Amino acid sequence: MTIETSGAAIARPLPAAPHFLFRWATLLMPHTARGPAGGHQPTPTMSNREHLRLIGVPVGSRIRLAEFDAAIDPLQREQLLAYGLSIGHPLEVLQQHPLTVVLCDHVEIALEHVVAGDLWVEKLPSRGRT
Amino acid sequence: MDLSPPPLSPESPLDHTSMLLVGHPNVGKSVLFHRLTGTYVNVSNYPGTTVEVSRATARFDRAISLLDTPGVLSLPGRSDDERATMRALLNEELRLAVQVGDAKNLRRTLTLTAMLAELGVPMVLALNMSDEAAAHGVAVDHKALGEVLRIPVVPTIATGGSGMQPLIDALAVARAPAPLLHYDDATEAILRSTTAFVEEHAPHPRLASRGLAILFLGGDSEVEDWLQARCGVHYPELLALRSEADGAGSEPLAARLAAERGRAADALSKTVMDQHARARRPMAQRLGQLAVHRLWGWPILLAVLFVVYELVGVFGAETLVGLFEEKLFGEILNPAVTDFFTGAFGQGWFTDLFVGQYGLWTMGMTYALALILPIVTTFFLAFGVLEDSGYFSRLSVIANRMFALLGLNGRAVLPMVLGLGCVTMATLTTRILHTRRERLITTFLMALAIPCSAQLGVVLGLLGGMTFGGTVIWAVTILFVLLFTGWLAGKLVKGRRIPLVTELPPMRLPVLGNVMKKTGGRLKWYLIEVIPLFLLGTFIMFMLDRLGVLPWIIRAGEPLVTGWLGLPPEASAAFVMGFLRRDFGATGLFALSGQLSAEQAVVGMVTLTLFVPCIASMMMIIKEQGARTAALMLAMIIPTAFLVGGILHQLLRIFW
Ligand SMILES: Nc1nc2c(ncn2[C@@H]2O[C@H](COP(=O)(O)OP(=O)(O)O)[C@@H](O)[C@H]2O)c(=O)[nH]1
Repeated sequence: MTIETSGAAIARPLPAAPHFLFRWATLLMPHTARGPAGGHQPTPTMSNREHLRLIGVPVGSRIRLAEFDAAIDPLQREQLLAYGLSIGHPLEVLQQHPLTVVLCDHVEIALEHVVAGDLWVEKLPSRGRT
Repeated sequence: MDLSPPPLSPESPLDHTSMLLVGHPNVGKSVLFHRLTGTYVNVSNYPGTTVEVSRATARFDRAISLLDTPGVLSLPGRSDDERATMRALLNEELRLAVQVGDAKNLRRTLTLTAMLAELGVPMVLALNMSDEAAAHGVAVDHKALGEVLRIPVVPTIATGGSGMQPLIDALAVARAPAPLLHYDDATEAILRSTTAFVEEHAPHPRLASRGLAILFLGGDSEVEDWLQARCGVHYPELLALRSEADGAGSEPLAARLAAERGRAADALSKTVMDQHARARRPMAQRLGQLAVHRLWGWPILLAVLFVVYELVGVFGAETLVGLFEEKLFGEILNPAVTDFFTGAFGQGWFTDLFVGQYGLWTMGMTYALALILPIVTTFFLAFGVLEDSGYFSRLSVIANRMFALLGLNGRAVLPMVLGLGCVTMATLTTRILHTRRERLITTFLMALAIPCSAQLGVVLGLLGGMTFGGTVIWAVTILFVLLFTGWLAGKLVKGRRIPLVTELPPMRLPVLGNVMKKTGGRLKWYLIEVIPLFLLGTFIMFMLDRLGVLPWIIRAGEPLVTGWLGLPPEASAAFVMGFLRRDFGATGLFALSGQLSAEQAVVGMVTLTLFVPCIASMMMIIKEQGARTAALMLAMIIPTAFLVGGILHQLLRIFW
């Protein structure tokens, strides 16, 4: 029965223990212009603003997706792209608990924290009231 | 069911060609489907898949069979739903497709359009939910969009019926959209050689080779299977082309292909869409956020559960079942049918087969129609309302943490909740889970530790009347077993846990007609899929009884029941009855309640709840998971039930 069919089968590898712990420990730390995996050049269109993991961004922030963490599963990345979460696209953080919820083109997307931790974003200036 | 189109007859060359509705999940496809078709809708599995699709004759043209495909997030397909849709595109005698898109999310809609364009599918784009788009300050210039794509683009509001006639008129001028994708030179080169290969070795009668090549390179498994079957010995060459291309770039090929679809859709949507600033957030959005709020989410959940319980547990399982089972079947139908059989055939095995203790009518049909049907009807109604309201995906968000303990994600909450209604039905709905691992664990946990409403009613009614403390012990034990075995299964079953990523559709007021149609379709499906299982189960019990196997099992079980569980020997029969009907087992146990102490009652009920699921759900498990897995589950469930029961017996003897 078609009950709720959004979402694709995404298998995401669980990182080995030390790496995994490291990643959690660094979750809230800001990075500048490059992910923790190193070697990745920031895309030219990106500004030099601080890159934060989505999981650490306060609710209500307007953000832009800067890059996917190198550790993200390719299928997971494809699924996020399919939801419209593409690099450079503006988003709004609606919630961080129990899951991270972002607004992307008027659609709310809920992400478990392990996934939100793999998204590097940069803050945009907040929108003025109209 | 054979879904292949009948051979073309000379007088109508387009006899039963199909028209596909495709689109993302939750864009209004099924509402639109019901608008475009008559009342007779066929819900069934798409051939070769476990995915449910609806099919019906088009209201505006009797020669067209309309197929509502499951929602796709993206193509190349990754989920069962996407594979089923791809299968339909490959195999249907496709005349045209209507892509249903969400007008307020044009970018995502166009990502799919871009792929359909490469496949050369003649199509019309219905930009649905234009009311919501307007409310969000989104204005799409559909004329300009139509000009760029070179296909008809029609704004619609499926729920209100607006845009239906323009949509139907546009079908006549459906055509393949202008291609949107331009890859970099290296990717184009590989695409060209793959396309040429497909063209030479496996041309599709309707779909463009370039589109198939893109899907193949992107790793779509349906297209892979299709090409493999057509290319035969040449298939390895195709695989070699792909792996060569995959190694060439800095990013995997599939990612490069996906990125271009995103880019093209982004660029086009920017040119034809206007976003007005919006002063405040729509009410529905705020309500939706409350439903997943870390604090407010819980009282809302309790309120929803309470209403569902009142509808299903009280109105369905008590009022309706009382009316059907006791009055209609118990007092009118069953005596009449019994009289007929004894009158016509006398006493004997043939009469017994239909109206005896394990009779196909008195047991099988009565169970399926008088007991389960009212419960699943009310359940499907509640289910449809929650589904249409957008609450379900929020429920999976709230439940996610608990299910993470079980190695699952929040999506598994749906079958589990349904299991409290009827485990047989719920086993079928594990299909909504995305991986085999999730389906396996969920099915197992339901078979073990989720009491169905029939059983729950008896347990709560009778045990609750006898001992409140005992009821609490029963509930805590079952919950503990559920969590513990779930945790264990999560560790033991191969494969990884999949984190939850889900869209939260806006909270909406459900549309009654839509809910009724979905409920009707599902009930029909229940009658077709589940009733035969009840009959088969009853027949097996009848044979076992005739052959003297049942009495033998009852006698063989007695020492275990008396010695290990400390129950009277007659309780053995209750366990065997429990296999036939879960509530019968419980009722059988309570027929002994004069002889049972409170402790014995609790131990008996706990063991019975965990003990084998009813025979119909067992048949369903065999159907869904295969006989081997089902046997393995039984081999784990029976000892677990007795083990837990025995330990509880020892503990309660000391502490209670
Ligand atoms: N506001 C609005 N709601 C709609 C429209 N079309 C469908 N819906 C609602 O959107 C939800 C999903 O619709 P459904 O047809 O089940 O989506 P499907 O998953 O694409 O089949 C339901 O609650 C519908 O009532 C529309 O044009 N406008």
